[in-house]
Amino acid sequence: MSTTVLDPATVAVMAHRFDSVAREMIDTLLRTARSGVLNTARDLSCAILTHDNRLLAFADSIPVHVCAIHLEGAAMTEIHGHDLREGDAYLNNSPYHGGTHHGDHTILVPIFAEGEHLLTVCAKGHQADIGNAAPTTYSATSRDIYEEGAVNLPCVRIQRDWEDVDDIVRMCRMRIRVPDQWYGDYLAGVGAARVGERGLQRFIQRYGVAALKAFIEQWFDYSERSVAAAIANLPTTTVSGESWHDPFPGVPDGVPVRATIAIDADAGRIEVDLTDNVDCVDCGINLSEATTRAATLAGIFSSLGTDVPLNSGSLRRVEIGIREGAAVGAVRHPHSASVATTNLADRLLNLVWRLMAEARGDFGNAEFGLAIPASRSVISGRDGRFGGRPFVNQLMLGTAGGGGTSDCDGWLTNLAPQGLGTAYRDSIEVDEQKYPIIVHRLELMPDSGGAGRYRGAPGTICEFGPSDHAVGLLRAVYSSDGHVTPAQGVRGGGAGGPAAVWRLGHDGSIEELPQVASVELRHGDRIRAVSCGGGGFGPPEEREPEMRETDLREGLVTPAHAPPSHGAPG
Amino acid sequence: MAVAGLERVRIGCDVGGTFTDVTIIQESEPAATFKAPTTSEDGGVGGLIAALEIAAGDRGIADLLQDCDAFVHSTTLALNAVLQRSVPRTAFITTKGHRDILLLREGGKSEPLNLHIPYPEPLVPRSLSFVVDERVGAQGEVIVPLDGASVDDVLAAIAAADIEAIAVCLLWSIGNPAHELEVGRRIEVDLPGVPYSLSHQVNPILREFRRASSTVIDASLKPIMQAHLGVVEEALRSLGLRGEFLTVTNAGGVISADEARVRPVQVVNSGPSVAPVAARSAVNGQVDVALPEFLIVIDGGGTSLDMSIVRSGEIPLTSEYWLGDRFSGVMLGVPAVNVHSIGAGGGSIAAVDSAGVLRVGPKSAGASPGPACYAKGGTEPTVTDAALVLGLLDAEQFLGGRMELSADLARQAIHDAVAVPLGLTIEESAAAIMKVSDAKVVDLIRERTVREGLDPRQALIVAGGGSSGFSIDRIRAELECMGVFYPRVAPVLASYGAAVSDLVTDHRQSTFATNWHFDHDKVRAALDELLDRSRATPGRIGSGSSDAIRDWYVSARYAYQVWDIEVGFQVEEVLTPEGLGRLTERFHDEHARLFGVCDRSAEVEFVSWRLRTTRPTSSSEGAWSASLRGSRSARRIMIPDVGEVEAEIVPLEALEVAAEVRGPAILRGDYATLVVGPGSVAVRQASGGVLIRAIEESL
Repeated sequence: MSTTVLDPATVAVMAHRFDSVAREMIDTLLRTARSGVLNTARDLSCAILTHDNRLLAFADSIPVHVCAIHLEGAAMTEIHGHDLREGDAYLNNSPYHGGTHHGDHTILVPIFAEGEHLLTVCAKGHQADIGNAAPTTYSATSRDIYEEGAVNLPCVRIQRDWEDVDDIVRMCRMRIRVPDQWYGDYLAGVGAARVGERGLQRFIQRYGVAALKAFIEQWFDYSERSVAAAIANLPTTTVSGESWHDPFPGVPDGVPVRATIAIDADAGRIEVDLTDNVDCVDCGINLSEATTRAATLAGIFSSLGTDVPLNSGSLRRVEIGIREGAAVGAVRHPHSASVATTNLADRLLNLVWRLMAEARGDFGNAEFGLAIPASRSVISGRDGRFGGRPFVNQLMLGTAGGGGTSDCDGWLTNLAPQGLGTAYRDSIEVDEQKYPIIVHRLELMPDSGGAGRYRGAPGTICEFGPSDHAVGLLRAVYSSDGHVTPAQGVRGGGAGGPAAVWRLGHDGSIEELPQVASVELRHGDRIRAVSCGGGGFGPPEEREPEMRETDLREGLVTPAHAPPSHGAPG
Repeated sequence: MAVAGLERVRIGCDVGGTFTDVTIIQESEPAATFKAPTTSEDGGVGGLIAALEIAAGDRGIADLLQDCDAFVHSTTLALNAVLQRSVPRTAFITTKGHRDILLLREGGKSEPLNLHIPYPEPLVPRSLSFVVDERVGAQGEVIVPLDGASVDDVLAAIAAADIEAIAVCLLWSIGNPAHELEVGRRIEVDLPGVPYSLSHQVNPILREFRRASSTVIDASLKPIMQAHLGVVEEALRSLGLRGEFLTVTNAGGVISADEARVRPVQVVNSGPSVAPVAARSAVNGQVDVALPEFLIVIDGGGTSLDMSIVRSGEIPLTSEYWLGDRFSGVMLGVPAVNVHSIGAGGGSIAAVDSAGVLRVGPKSAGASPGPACYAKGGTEPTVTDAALVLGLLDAEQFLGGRMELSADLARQAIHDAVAVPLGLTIEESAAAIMKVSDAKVVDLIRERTVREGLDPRQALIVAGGGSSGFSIDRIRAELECMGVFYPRVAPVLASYGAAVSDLVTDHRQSTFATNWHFDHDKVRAALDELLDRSRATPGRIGSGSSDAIRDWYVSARYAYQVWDIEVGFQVEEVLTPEGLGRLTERFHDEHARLFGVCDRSAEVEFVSWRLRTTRPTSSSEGAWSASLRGSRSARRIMIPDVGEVEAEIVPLEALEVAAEVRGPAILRGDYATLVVGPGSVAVRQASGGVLIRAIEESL
C-alpha cells in the first residue's frame, strides 16, 4: 500500500475528476446511441471501479443501474482475471453474473498503467431489443430464462486489442431484432468506455499511480466518515414492514416484499435484512442481486441527507442481508429476472423510503408512483413509410409522479421510483417521426398526486395508437404495477392515484386492459394509459394555504378533491 | 483618458447587473474602456449615459455620438428576467391533448439521490397554457383541421386574463405551419397589439418542448426588450447618435436592434456569449507569440465564472443551452455560444461540510452583502476574502482605491467557518479555499477540453473579468497551458466584445439526404436557397465592415441516431460523389474524435444545412504605451502550495512594452489584480495586454 498522503483539497480535486469522466461517458453514450431508449430516454449509466471491484464514481447515472455495478466487475475479474489486458472489452447482461437484467448491456473495459490493471470503466445501456421470445425487453410472463429467450452474455470478451471479437457480434446479430440498431448501440457503449479510458489515462499521467492509489483509499475513508456522521443523526431504532406487488402472471395474489432496517446511531451503521422474502416465483419479476442491492442502497442513501456520497467506502457502513433464490434477493438460474429493474425493485425502494421516513420523522419522502405504465410500452411492427421496415423500441411517454418529501412536493417527471428523475422523456415529434404512431394525448392527471403537507407529483394520462403508415398491426407490450396498490403516503400523507389502462377501439368501444399485456392495435385503436401519482408527505391539513391555492389554480387538484384544511375559513 | 475627436468610432456597451461597461474603438487609438454603476431604476439608461460622458470627456457626449458609426448594445436584463421568472404575463397555446409540454419538459435531473430539489417552475404556468383543437402529422398532413371555435374560446380566455404576450407552438408546425399562422392571424384580429410568437418562425426544429421553450422565451421578452431597446435608442438618438444601433446575439454576432425587437430570444444571452468573441479579437495580432489551435476563455465575475473554448478562431455554438443551471433552468432551444458557468467567482462562499470537507460555492455572497471584507454585513468567507488574507489583493487599492477592504473581517470569517472546523491556521485555510475554487475551474476546463478531444497543454488561456486574476496563472500551471493572455480590456471584456463583434447571420435549411441516397440536385437547390436568403439580409455595418465571408456546415448523424454533429464543408463537395465521399469521411473522423468510435459501414444522414454569413468588422487599433508612472514595491504574500514568499508589486499601467516581471509578483490595476506565480514570467505585449508563461519556456 502506498504511503502517499494527499491533502484534502487534492482529494476533492481528484474526486471531481472521476465524476467528470463518468459524465463524459454518459454524454457519449447518449449522443451516439441509435435506439430511442438510449438516445432519447437516456436509460443508461456509466461508472468507474477500482481494479479490485470497488465502486468509485457514477455521476448522474440511474441508481438502480450502478449502485451495485461492482458485482459486474467482480464477474469480469473472476472469469477473465488471468487474461485481462489493455485493449480488451467485456460485454455482460447476465443477472446471474452481477448484471441488472438481460435488457441492460454493460461494456466493461479494464484500464492499465505500467502494465498494471488499476481501474475498470463500465458503460451500461438498456437495449431496444435483446432477442427475447416476445418483442420486449421486459418479459413479465416468462417462467424461466428459456422461455424468456434473451441472448445471455455472461461477461464475454467482446474486444481484444481494440478490435471486435466477431464471433460474439455475429451471434448477437443473428438473435437480436433490428441488428444494425443493436450494433450501433453496442458501438456507443464501447465509445463511452473508450472515452472514459482516455480520460483516466490522462488522470494517471498527470498524478501518477501512487497518488491514484492513495486517493482511492482516502476518498473511501472520507466517504465512510461522511456516511457515519449522517447515521449518527438518526434515532437508534429497528423498523420492519411489508409492501405488496400487484397480482402478476403466475402470481395471482401478488408478491410480498419485506424488509427490516436496524439503525445504530452510536456505531454509525445500518443493517437491512431482506432474508425474510419468498422464494423466486415463476415469472420474470424476480430481482437480481444487483437490483436488490441497488434499490436498497438508493433508498437508504437518499434518506440520509442530500449530499452523502455513495461508493464502496460509504458502503462499509450499510450492510444488506439477502438470500440467494429469493424473489427479493439474488435470482437463481434458471429463474427469470427479466423485469428486475422495475417492478419488485420499485416496491423494495418504496418500502425502504417509507420505513426510513417513519423512523426519522424529520426527513425523507413518501412512496413514488409505480412503473411501468402502458405509456411506456415496447412497441413493434412495420413502417410503411420505409418500405415496411420492422421496428422495435420502448416508448418513454408517460411518467409516474415522485413522492412528496419533508420539504418539497414530489418531482414531476420521475418515470419510476428507480429512475429518480434522471431519465429523459421522449419527444412526441421524434417518436412520430421514427415510428408509425400518433400520440393523441399526454397530459398530467389531476388529483393523482397523493395529498399531504407536501403533495405527491401527479401521474399522466396518455393516448397513442398506430398512424395510417403502420403496416398491419402495432404491438404494444407492457407490464405495469400500481393498479391495485398505489404509492403510499408517509407520516399522514395520502396515497397517490393508481395506474390504469384501456383500449379505445376504432369502433368506439372502451375496454379495460389487464396490467400485464401484449396488445395488438389496428388503425383507429388507441391505448389510454394512466400512470401512478406519488404519495404525500405529512398530514394534508398542514399544507400551506398558498400552496393549496396554487394547486387549484393550476388544475393539479380539482375542488372536489381538495383536502380539508385546519381552521381555514370556508 | 477621454476619446479624441475627428475619427469614426464604434461603441460597445454591456449593461450588467452592477456595472455598465463601455468600450470605444477608433482607428489609430487603442480601445478605451470605461465603467459606471448600472441604474436599474431607469432601465439602465442613466448608467449608460454616465459611462458615455466619462468616455467623451471635454469633447462632450453629442460630439462622440455624432462620430459613431455603430453602437453595439448588450445587456443581462432579459437574462435576469428569465432567471428570476419575472417576465411579463405570457400565455401559451398548443395542440389539444398536449397542454403540459412546458411542465413535462424532456425529463432529466441532476443529483439523482437528492430528492429534496423542488421541481423547476416553467416560464408560463399551467393555468396560462391553453389548447386549440387541431392536429398535424409527422408528414405535414392535417389529421384534425383547426377548429375555429376552439380558437375563439382560447382567445376569449386570454383576453380575460390580463396577458401581455402570447406564445404559440403546435405539434408539427415545422412540417405544416398553416394552423399556427391561422392562430397568429386570429390573435391580430381579436387581440390587436398583443405581441405574439409562432414556434415555426422562432425556432423551426423538431422536438416540441425545445421549440415551445424558445417560443415562450421569445414572446415573454418582447414587451421587455421592445421597451428597453426603445428607450436606449431614443436616448442615444436624442443625444446625437446617427450611426446604426445594434444588439449582440446569443450566437456572439450582432443584429440590428430592430431585428432583436422582433425576435428577442436571439439576444437573451448577449452578455455571456460575447466573451469568446472579445477574446478572439483581443488575441488577434496582439500577442507576440504564435497562436495555438485553440483558446480557453475565462471570464471571472463576482458570482460565477464563465468558460468557453475557441477553436481555430471558431466561436463554439451549442443547440442545447440552458438559461440557468442544466435541468433546473429554462431550455433556450436555439443555438447559443457554448459558455459554461460555474460558481467559482470572487463572491463564492467557502464552508466545511459535516464530514470535514471544504467546499467553495455555488452559493455566492453576490454584491450584497458581498464578501466579508467589503464590511457590508457579510460574515461568510469568500474567495475574495481568501485572496485578501493571502496578500494577493490590496486592501487600500481596491477599485482604484475607491473602496477600502477590511482584512480583519476577512480573517474573522475564515477563522470561524474554515480554520476552526479544519484545525488549520487562517492562512492555511485561505490557501485551501483558493485551491478548491481553482480546482473547480481546472476540472471544468479539463472536462470540456477532453470532451472535445483537445489537450489543454496546447492552449492559450485568455482571461478577463474582475476576479480571474488571483488564480489564472496557477490554473495555467496546473493545466500546463502554454500561457495566459490578459488583454488590456480584460476587466470590461463583454463591452469590448460588443464593439468588435461581426455582423453574423445564420440561415438553416432542413433537407434530408444520406451518403447512400444523395440527391445532388435537391441539396444544391437547398444551398442555393440559403445563398439567396443570405444575400437578402442587410450588408454592412457602418464604414468599418468589409465583404461577407460564407461558411457552410451540415448537421449529420448515423441512421437511427437522433443527436447530430456539425461538420464544415465546401459547396463543391456536395456536387459530386467524390466530394460527398470526402465529406462523409470527415463525419466519421469527427465522430471518432468526439466519441471514441465511428462506424464506416453505417449510413450517414445529412439532416440540416447551415450557411453562416459573416461581415467582419475591421478593428485596427492603435499602439498602446504605458501611461502612468508608478514605482515597483514588494511585500510578503502567500501562494497556495508554495507558501510565504516575497513578491514584487507592479502597477499594471506603468509596465512598458516588452518589460518583464518575474514571479512571484503582483500586477496591480484599477479593476483587477493579476498574480504571477513563482516560475512564471509576465511580459507586456505591444498591444498593452500581458502574457504570462512558465519561465523555462521563455528562455
